[in-house]
Amino acid sequence: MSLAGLLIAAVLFAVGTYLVLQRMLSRVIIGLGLMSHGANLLIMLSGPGPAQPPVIGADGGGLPVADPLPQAMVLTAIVITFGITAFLLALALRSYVLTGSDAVEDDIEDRRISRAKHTAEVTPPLEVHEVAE
Amino acid sequence: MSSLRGSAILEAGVITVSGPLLVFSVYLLFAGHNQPGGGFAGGLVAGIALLLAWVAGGMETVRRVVPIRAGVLLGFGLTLAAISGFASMFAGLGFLESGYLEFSVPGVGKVKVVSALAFDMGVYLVIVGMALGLVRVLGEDETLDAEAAS
Amino acid sequence: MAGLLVIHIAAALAILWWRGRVGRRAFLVGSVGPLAVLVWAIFQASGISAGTPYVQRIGWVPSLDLTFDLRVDAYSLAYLLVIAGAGVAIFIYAARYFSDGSRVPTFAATMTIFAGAMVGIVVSDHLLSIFVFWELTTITSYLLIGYDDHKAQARSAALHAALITGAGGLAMLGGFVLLADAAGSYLISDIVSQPPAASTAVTVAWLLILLGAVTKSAQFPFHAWLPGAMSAPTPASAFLHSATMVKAGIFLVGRLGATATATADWWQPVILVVGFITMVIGGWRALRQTDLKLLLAFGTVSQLGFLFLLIGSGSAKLVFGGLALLVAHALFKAALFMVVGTIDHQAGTRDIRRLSGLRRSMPGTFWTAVAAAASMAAVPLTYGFVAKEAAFDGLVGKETTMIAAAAAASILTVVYSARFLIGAFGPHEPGQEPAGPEAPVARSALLWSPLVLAGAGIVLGFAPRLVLGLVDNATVAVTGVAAAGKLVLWPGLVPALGWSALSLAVGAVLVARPPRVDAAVGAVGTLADKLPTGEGTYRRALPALLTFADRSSGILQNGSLPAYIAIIVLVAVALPAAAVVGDLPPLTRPPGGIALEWMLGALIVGAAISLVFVRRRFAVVILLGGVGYGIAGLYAILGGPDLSLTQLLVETLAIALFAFVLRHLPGTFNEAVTARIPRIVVALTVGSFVFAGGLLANTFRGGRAVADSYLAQAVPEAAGSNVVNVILVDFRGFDTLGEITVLVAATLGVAGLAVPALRMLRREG
Repeated sequence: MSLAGLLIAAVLFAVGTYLVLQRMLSRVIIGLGLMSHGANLLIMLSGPGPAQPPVIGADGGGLPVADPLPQAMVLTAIVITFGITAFLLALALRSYVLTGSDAVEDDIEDRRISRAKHTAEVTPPLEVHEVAE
Repeated sequence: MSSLRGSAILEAGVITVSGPLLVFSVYLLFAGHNQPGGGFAGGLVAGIALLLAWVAGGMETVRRVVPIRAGVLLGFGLTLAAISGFASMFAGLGFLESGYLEFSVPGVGKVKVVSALAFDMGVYLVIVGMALGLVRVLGEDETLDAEAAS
Repeated sequence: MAGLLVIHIAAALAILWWRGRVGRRAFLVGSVGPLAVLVWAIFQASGISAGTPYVQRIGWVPSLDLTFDLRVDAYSLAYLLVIAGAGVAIFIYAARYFSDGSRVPTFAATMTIFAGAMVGIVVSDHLLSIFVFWELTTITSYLLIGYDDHKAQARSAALHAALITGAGGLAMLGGFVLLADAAGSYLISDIVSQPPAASTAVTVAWLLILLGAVTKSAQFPFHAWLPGAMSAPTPASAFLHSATMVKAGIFLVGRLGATATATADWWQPVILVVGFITMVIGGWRALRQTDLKLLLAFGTVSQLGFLFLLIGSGSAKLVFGGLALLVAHALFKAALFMVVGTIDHQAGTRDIRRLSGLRRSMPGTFWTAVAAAASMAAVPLTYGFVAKEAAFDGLVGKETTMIAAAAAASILTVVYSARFLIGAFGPHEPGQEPAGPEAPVARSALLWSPLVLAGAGIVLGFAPRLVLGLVDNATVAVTGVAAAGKLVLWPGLVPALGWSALSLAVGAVLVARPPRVDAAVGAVGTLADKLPTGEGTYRRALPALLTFADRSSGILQNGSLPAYIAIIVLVAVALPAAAVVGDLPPLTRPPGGIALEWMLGALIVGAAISLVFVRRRFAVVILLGGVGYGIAGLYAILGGPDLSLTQLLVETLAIALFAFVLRHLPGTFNEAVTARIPRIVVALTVGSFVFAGGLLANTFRGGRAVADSYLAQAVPEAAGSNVVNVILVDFRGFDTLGEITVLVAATLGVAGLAVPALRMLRREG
């Protein structure tokens, strides 16, 4: 791990979070992309730093051999993130076509709930005489 | 981007480039077990070739470069990958555990055929299918291609 | 044993299946459940009483060590007999009480499930399955009480019961978890045989469990839901008040009472005080009711207080008396509720000011009521007297205040029992419109079911030996010692007899109502009415609770997506941070990194930060690409040519993808970003958390055994020298298969979402 790599990952997470906290769907997708870059980088940083590829028989010029496991994980993650990004973009497109806006507005129902005043049905005095079924 | 369209030279150039790109992608697929590359990288290179074809000539050119529907590639790739996994099981190995055959071809030398290659080909096909599907669906341009994406 | 629970479910399902045709006969179908339990319990009685519990264990989720443990010892057996005995009588009664209505079968099915859940509580040995059955009785009792859902009274009473017992049940679950954690087992049999050492956690556990039992058994200060629960149709009230539901809490404190007394010295005093207060309040309130059913309901509160303190005390003599009384209570209370039901059914009212002349027109019902009420008032020659003598005998050994308080409550019992009889069968009050039966009671279940139960209360008085073994063995099962208690018709001249005689005598004087006593009762009543009541407190607390719920959901569920995400992100940061903060080890400082890393870092950071400020969408796409290419460069430095290549290619395709989609959207972001400062704070928090977490992870990073074994095995096992690829297609091939499945699904999802969207756009032009 290097300080430079760690700083880059931290900045990617911070900027990604800031973008995700906005209302425009396309910016949210960009924010998620930045965060996954940051996460991938963090996983790669668990290796020894500058290294030679984990290919057996290759000549690395004295560098240590990189850890292949995080690489396999990150490779999977990169491609998956691409698939998810495509899906989210299609979702944003659909949402834009349907609502005419790229922004996610507040849920009106939820707003109403938070303002609602519920009146409880409270037990009336127990003075009732009822005919049975 | 569509302003580049209609240039015959560009289209010819792109088709000239995309052929070798597709070959390169297949090379990456086969070399991947021993050198950097593999099904993911190979499939993505093929995806780039499709993108170039779209830039040059729109959906029509894409269709000429890969005359197969995306769904076929996706389904075939996924099936191939899954079958190769079960095949190892029938060979007495674990699910997806690869075995290999070694034989010599006259003039070439020793060749190893690894069962994992079939799996990687499945991965390759899925990635190409995904790239093709995305380009066809999202890249559809109403000014040039009135007809719907297949 | 588990089959008995299945029978209840099957009976309920059968009723629902034929609900169109079954009518009120549904209750006869439902009675199969209690009947099966009764038969089973009688056949198993001798073996279980001999001291060998019936144990059954069914694997549920074996991998999670979750089992379904059933264990019936003599203590459970006593409850089983009470539940099933009263159940059979009440189900048969109900089949005559209701007329064929469209909702009657559903009600019968609910009552069958309710009976099954109650059986489940007493046969479970696993704390968690007790909780599940416990809550099942809460839910079914809610449906039973609220059956007349067109009446506000029934709806609110059902809600009241569900809120109080449900909240108590949740507290109890917390107590169960703490207790099991301290004891190392969820099995009650384990906890009882090896009690946990006293600790704060165990104290809290007992408190929470006690809270669950107190709410379920309607003990002070949570007793107010029970009188309201009499809004249920009479068969359900009879079942709920006599043998089930409220007995669940008593069952639990009895089961755990001895263990609790051994590990917490406050347990017994608290149980005693709570029980006595409940006893007196219930008795007093019963005196002042004019509705027969309500009078009985408050009487139940009072009786429950007595049972609670006796059975929960953990002391053998008291438990013995309590269990004897438990049987008596089930018999007379079920009978009396059914009597009220019959009166209500025939006369159309339960108001004691109006009922008139029933003694002559309903003689069978009258004598049934006399027998049951005598047992309730503990008149000699009844089983109620025998049982109360046993209870008094246990209390005599304790402090005098305790027996005096019990005697005071007994006086109230005598008075309200008499009030019940005189009110129901005596003349109507002057100035009230008299009401009598429209038709005499046929020789049907309306007569026989209460008669059998009330008659049993007399028979057992003369033959207490029939229950002595049961009660004695049950006491041994929970306290571990024999109480050496007696159940006899004539106890001899012992102190307990003196207390019984005193309560009966004072009660008789009060019943005779000499004007002076009457005035005194009235004066105390006016004074007592000024005290806060349970109902009043609930009525004030409920709106406050609802307001609190509105406010809190208004804050947490405010409809704003950014707010939700901020909460999720902050919790995700706070939880791990809270776990490590405090004992943070000294962190190792990582090397700074080579120049190329810093240069690429500057590119990435620059592009990322610009993303925040840039408004034009296509500029955003290019900046995003810059970040991706920079990352690809970093991967190359870190020894990942595969990654680097993949990242480059993916980034190129992603740029095209963004361009494809964004061309349909407006060209710039025209968002007025409000609340910028909170967003920045959250973003910086996350960034610093990642930085600190990375440092921490780096400090603890040890060897890499997995990597080295992969490196060693790649060529010999998988014939590949690119280890990353070998991992992807061989060692971890299954993961990759899952991944490409996700990719296929994502592509199909994109097609499904985008094709219709684009078609709409095209149509709009």
